[in-house]
Amino acid sequence: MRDRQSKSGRQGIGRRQFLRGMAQAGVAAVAMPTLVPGSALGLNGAVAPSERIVMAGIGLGGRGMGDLRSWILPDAQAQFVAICDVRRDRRDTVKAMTDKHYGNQDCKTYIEMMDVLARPDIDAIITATSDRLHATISIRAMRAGKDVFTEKPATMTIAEGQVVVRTAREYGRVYQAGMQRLSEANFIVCNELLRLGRLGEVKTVYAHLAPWGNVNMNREWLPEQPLPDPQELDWDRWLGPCPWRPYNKSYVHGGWHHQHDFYTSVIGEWGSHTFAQCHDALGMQDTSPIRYPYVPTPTADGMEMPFANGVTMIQKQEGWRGTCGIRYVGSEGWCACADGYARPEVSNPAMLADYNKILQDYLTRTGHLVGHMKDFFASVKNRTITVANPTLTHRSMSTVHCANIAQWLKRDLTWDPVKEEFVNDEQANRLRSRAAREGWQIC
Amino acid sequence: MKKNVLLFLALAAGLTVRAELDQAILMDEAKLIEVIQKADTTDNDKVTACQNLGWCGTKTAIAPLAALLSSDKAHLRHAVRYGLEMISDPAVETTLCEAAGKLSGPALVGVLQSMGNRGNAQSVTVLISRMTDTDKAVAAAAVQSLGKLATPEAMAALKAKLNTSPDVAVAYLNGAGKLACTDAARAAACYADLRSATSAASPAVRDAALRGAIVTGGDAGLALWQEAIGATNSDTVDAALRAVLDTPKGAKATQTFAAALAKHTAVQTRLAKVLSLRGDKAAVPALAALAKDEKVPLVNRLAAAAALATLDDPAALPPLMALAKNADDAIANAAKNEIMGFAGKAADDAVLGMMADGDAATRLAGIDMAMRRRMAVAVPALVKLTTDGDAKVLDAAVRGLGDLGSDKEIPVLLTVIKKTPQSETAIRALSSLCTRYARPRAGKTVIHSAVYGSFENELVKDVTDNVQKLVDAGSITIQSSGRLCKRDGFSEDPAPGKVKTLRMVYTFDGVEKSVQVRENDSVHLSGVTLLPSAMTPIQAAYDSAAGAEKLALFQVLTSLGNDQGLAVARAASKQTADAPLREAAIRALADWRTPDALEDAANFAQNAPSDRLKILALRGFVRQLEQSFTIPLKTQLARLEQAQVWTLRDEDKALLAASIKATQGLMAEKGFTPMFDGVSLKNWKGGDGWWEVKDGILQAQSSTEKPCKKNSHLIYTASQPANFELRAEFKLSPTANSGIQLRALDQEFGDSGYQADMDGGGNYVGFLYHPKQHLVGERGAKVTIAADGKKTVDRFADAKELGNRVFKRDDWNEYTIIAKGPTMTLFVNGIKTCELTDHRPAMMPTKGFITLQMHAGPPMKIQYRNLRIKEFK
Repeated sequence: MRDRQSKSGRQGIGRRQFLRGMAQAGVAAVAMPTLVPGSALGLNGAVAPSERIVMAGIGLGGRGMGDLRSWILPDAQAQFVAICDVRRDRRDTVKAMTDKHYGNQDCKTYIEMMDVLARPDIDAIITATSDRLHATISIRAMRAGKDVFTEKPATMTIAEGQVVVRTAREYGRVYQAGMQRLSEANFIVCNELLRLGRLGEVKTVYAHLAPWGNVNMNREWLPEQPLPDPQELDWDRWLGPCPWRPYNKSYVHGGWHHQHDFYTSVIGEWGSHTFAQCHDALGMQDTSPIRYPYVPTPTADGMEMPFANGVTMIQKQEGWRGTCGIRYVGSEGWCACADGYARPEVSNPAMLADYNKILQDYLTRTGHLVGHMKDFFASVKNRTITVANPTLTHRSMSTVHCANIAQWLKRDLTWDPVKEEFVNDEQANRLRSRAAREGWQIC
Repeated sequence: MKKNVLLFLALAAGLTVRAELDQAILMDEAKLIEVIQKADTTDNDKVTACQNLGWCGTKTAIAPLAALLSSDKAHLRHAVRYGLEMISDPAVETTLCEAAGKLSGPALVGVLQSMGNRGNAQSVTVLISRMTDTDKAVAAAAVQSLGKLATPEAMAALKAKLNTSPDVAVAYLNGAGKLACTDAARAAACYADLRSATSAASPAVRDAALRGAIVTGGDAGLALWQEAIGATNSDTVDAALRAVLDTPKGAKATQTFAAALAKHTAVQTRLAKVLSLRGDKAAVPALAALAKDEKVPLVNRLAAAAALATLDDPAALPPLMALAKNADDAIANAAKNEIMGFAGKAADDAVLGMMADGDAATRLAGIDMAMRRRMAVAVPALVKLTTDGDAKVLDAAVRGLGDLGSDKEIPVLLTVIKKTPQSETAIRALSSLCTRYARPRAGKTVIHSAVYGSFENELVKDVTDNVQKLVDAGSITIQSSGRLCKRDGFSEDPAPGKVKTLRMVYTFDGVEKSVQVRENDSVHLSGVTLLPSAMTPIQAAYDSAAGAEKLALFQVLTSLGNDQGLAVARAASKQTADAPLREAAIRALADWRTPDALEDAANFAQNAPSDRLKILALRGFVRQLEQSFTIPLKTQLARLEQAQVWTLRDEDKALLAASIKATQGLMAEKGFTPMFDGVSLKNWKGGDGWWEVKDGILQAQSSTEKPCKKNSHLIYTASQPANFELRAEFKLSPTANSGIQLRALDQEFGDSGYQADMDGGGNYVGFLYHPKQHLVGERGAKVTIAADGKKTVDRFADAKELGNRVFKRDDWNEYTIIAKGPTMTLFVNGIKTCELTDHRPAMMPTKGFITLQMHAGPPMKIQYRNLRIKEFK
């Protein structure tokens, strides 16, 4: 039996065992599909320690600390207990933030991820390294029996995505990738407008492409600098499975962007969000577009990617007044949304007359929640499937990777989403995976 | 350009192919092999070349790559495996197997990893031989790769060692997962192996094996599930819950899962949830029983009912309806939300039943749910309830019709208003119904100018292009925010810490509009029109109504604040038969939310029938005037001063005084230097004696007796500005021809470079003229000229139409000229007329003289005043 020491001191009883007693007492706020506040049920919002989701962070920088500060620490369902990071400054910052929040000194620090994954009391991890390590950490964590919240872009290659999907399924783990707009009301309503047929027949959707950068990335090493003490920064662990190169401080401080070995290109930058939005809206959670026409520009702005049913997704740099936008155009109307919109933009304001009803219908039908971390927590407790689940994540990232590969090879590609291979292009198929460094092989 | 030079240098020197490797992807196999074989190649180049060989290499590349498998540099060993793993030729397997025989330690680990990634059965023997290697890392890599191969031979070898290490169990599980995709029975056998040999497996692997056994095991799997769901270990229960979603579809399995609801109260809520997501209606009876069971906690019943709602089953309704009336607000509200999200006719019928109930409280709850569900089918019932005996029910029904009714229900609401004209609810309901029949008009929108920022502090940014882009992309609503200032994907704040405003001048279907909105508010570009199906009956009722009813309908008609409402208000303000209506109309015009009623307010500030209304109109006038940014500040000031005689009370005098002061404050420009002192020609020279100062005006006049036969220029001597904003007022006689020369090179003869053109007929005002290119900077166009002289013209307005709109003949006009880098922009009376960017240094000098031209021609008079300039970097 899985050996976990519960707070009650009883051997062999897992943490969530306490849900039982709680449900009988009529206070199971946690399992409600629509949120019943704990206060209304006599709990005053408090969640018993034994019932909390115990979490650790692996690689938290600016974005990860933001997730921690705004989504994890304030949520009584979670208890954040450990930070693993190859950077000492990050470990110290996260520990200080956490300890200050809880008013104790309990947040433990680690350099080696396998050490924190070996802790039986930890239920779930959040990872927010740069692109290069998300899949490796997620897969290792799930194999250690942890649920995973990972920031995006969630994979470096198509093959990594396949392993993420299979590992989550085989280990029965809950996995949510950080495409948080899938849990934001405005974006949900846009996707529902499309799904409910309010836009008529939709033949074209637009996904916002980051308006900077390049698909072809840097492969030149920066000048070598003296290796720091691994206690300060563990360069070997920072690299993980990626190709080694001599240390230079700038990689660690944002310079990993635009490096072929570490980054999923300008397309992955926002495409990891916006493609997922479009895939989800179109019901294309478990497939990808079938054609990737080469666009002879640095960012592939305007690439038109048709799905097998003829609906075309177009990546565009312009057309929104916020970041990470989507636009769906149908025979009877259109809708669009981006960050910062008070409400979605629609061709006819009447489309939003029943905004709340559209939202609630969606929540009732799917069981998802508004709030990306809340959706994750509910799935952890109920063992259900998240909105940014492994399948959608892998498939929308496959679309990113396929578009990248077409640009790298400078030719139109055809993709078979069932076999997950390019049609009649042996060379393109080679680019679906990358060899890992010695000892870094994932499952 | 720079990159090409680098590439050339690099190739010429023959030192490195770095630059070439960096240019996208080099795909020349022979060259790449040369790179990795040359002694003096950098490691960086070698690594990149190995990776590229993976992309393009053939059998030829295998041996040169393999030569580096035994390198003492780990990154080179990795790089060659990176390449080798991608080359599909089976000779790679032979090479890897040979290398495995010679290598040890980390180098061997890498090779074994690559064998697993390639998944070729040829490697099985080597991998099995290394499973028990004394080097633990080697053994672990071999085991892992065997799991990836998952051939019968590999699985047998792993099975034999299942109890030896957790790694073997992980690999075996991985293999089983692979088999599960093709052969459930074989996979089930593997999961059984894992479950019977658990001494070395980690808890996560044991849970995974249990899950696998359930999902692939058929009836045996279901039996396992029944045991697991009641386990004392919560992780086992978790695995069982997840298996509900993963087990293949089938009523038998679903019924087995659902049957556990009654037995295991502790998992009721969670099991109900996963059953709903399994999406099989075979779970309905068990869920319905739980939802009705009064012995279990309310939350469990609610979870069951919610699951039924997700399954879209009508059995959800009776318990949800009952829970919706629960005394616990949280429970009742959650139940109502579920009913709101419940699709289908059965739920509609249940709500309709409540609306017809004998109990008024139930009828009220029914109306509430009909509104939440936005039930169009409830409209007839709502119509019926508008005659309900209970006042609260009646009120709610009227509100409901406002929310859900169509134009067909307008007569019903008109009847309610006729009966109870004082009812605010009815007025609001009809107004709200009207908003659904108000349509933005389709039409062509051209943005003439859009400026965002803090105008008081002169921290603003021209966002015309960005707004036009949004309009071109289909936006009809523009939000006033820093995102409009977006450049390279990043928002810019033109005035950090200040309250910002967006001011736009645009034409919609040829009609000019101006609008000013505060930060984060939105502008609807097209305005709205009430469709005839709504407008006609309400207008007819209004026309025939009198007294309180007419007043109520007046409020409805003016509620949209659109042009139709404005017309109604104006008409009502002009009649005298109905005094209360007139008063309401004057109030409405004074309070009009856009400056469209400015002149009405001005009129009533003087001529309203009562002092109270005059005061209201005056206040409205001041407020609307403040919103009218297209009215020049000077005119605004004059009108405020004029309004002083309308004031009746000291408070209003104070209000006007404050507004006058604020306007004067806005008029004081910051950072500008006067170019003309109003009394002398100080700072000016040349001009061939044409120019004189008179009454604070700088002017030049020719006559029949004294004709101007040759172009002449008055030269500004205080500076030769590079980047600047110049503002000048000018007035021209009908035949006059003048212009302001910008960055002129030659002091003596100023007709060089660009000129902000002007003439009395207005034909050339707002154009940028150039002596060698004539009217190159067209009015209404954005012109870009590349270094090679290629010209791009992007037209934003019709030249003639724009000229007519902005220029006032025989009157003072104001030029604003901005020169920044290679770009010059002209504004006439605050409206952009032309923007020109010229990248040819010969045509667009970086700095120069400013001169005022007098063009040769018939007798003319040219006048300038308020010439001022602000220079910046």
